[in-house]
Amino acid sequence: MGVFDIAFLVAALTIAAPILLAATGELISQRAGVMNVGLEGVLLAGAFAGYLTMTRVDSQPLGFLGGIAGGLLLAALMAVLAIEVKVDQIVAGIAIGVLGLGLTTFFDQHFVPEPQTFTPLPRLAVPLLSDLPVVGEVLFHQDLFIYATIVVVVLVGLAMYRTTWGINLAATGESPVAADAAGVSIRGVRWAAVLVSGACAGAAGAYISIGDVGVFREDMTGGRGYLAIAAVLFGAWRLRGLLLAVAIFAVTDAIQLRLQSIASVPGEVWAAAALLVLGALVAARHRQPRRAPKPAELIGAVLLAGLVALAVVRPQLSLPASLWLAMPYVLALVALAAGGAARHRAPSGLTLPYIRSEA
Amino acid sequence: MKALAVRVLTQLGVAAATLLFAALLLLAIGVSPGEAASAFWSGTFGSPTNAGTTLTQAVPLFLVALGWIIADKAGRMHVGFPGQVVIGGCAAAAVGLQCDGVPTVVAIVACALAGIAGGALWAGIVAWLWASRGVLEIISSLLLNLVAVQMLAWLVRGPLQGSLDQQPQSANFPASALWPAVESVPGRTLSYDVILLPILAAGLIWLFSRTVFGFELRASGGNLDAARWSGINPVRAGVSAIVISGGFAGLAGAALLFAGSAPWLSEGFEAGIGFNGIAVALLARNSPVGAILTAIVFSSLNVGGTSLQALLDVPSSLTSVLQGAVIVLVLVAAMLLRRRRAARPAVPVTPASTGKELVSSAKEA
Repeated sequence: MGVFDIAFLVAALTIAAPILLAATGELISQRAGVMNVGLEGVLLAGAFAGYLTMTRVDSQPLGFLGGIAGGLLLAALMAVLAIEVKVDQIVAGIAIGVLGLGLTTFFDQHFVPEPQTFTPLPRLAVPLLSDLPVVGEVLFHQDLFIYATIVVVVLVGLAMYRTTWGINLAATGESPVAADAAGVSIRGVRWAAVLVSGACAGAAGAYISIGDVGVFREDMTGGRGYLAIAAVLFGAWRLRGLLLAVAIFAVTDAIQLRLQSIASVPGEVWAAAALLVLGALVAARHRQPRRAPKPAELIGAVLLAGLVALAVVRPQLSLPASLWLAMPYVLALVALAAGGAARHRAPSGLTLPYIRSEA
Repeated sequence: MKALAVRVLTQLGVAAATLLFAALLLLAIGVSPGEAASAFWSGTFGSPTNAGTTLTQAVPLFLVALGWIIADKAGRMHVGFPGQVVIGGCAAAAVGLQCDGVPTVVAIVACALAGIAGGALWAGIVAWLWASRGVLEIISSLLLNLVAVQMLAWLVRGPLQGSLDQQPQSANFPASALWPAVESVPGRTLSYDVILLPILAAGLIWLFSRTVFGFELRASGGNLDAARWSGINPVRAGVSAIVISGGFAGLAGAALLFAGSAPWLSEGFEAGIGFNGIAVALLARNSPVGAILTAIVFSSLNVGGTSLQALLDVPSSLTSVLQGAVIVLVLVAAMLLRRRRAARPAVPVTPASTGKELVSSAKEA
């Protein structure tokens, strides 16, 4: 299979897990009406707090707990600013992002002047299931964090769509006035949602530092927090859409990791890109079958033809590593631009502070 | 008069709280705040050379702050300044490297224009995505920052790579492209571009208070319906605001390169200016004149942070911690003020004007 082998799928899953967990947390927070643009800073706080705990007590469970605590700390600050002081959430988010980067770098330089490396989380094989071909290796031979992420996402899905708490959550974000009148504590739900998102991002950050690579570096989350927010927006504030977005981002990221070490771009990458464009075009057609093609679709068709040609000809082409590194973000932008219609499904109360006396 | 006094007192309160926070952080890592203060002073204003550096480094911060003020007045909060600084700097560098032998005046104007164009172009993507695709400007600008960083990484290794020892940086800019500095300051650290501080602040105040365009910007940032009813196109105003703010950020990128200490394009040249500039504008409460002062304060934090690291081994990232803390404190102070005011007559903040337009304005217009 060339580039797309089992190791590739494993890499994609490892990349996806922390983004997915952070994005799920952010989804809960945004459904309650609080948008934390500083998610990147919360991830960093989790990454550093986990790492700092590991340098003091060499124990992975405690490291992850430390990471969660770090994430909770910054999330609590966000909650105070957004829910209690009722400041502009966007500006508060910028502050959280700047503080997260600043504090983690500052404390890293001071408390851990000599970088330490730890062994990453061990991979555990699920008995029997891990012997399945391909699927077994990819899905059932992973580290504990990835299993835990899957469990958390399933639980969040159940909680959001099948419980009273989930309905209260959606009501808080959609119409705080109505929810308040129905006896839901707006403050309580929003605090809970923001703290849950902080815990998720903290754990995800800890996985990035001590779970995956085993070390902390300044600004090591490299934009994963922004990708997570983009996934929530692209997924139209639904869990299913979010999963799809995270999958696309993670696969792109895994491809770029692979391609950095290969001199010439293999043909199947072009084929995969062509499939992606084709899928997007079909989806656009499917939504509104009978209408004249828009300029964007024509561009897409030309792009598709070009990619197919590249996949067939397979030229000896090497592109700069930066192009591949930028690819997940470019793709996120394209996805957001293409998913324009989803915008109307944003919770109506998103970024609005709730002030009861004005209801 | 009383309002002004309250405002100044609040700013002083925020500054005092920040200093207290800094002192606590320094104590936490075992450095005496007194020693730190004296090292800080000698590093920033203690000598003409250092004072020149501090003032010169305030210019890019101030330019970014003006960009934020323009966009924010029009209700468009984008955070694409790091990316716009980078792209503006790249464009300016590409032009500057070709300026060998060109008269200085022509070279300076060409580089500044290239920087402005680069920044405006990069901001144009954000503006287009917002206006025609309804993508939140904050998210698209954050993602574009990351793309710009990669673009810079590619440029300094590829087309613009020019250092002799194969480092990822460009060749040195020709002397004719560098912005002139005041000769009487030892070390020539004070660049003449500091005159931009008062000129642009005055220009911006004039724009907002005396021109139709400035009024359209402010109206679009206020009540969207009122703006629309008075015949203003808020989408057009928003797009212009984002593009102009990108132009300021691009000019900041050019200033960083041609009036800075390192006359070549390298990967880290942006050095956090993009986000710091936002903090500068927030601390100045969106006042262009106030931004001159706060830009100098922040640039002294940057310059002083370096000397603290050299003299007392304080991590230089102390500066970015303080900047985050300043934003938080400014937010809280502004809110407390508003509450005090609201306690007397009721001035309700209607939901429609606080941020609902964030998600849905572009398409409705």
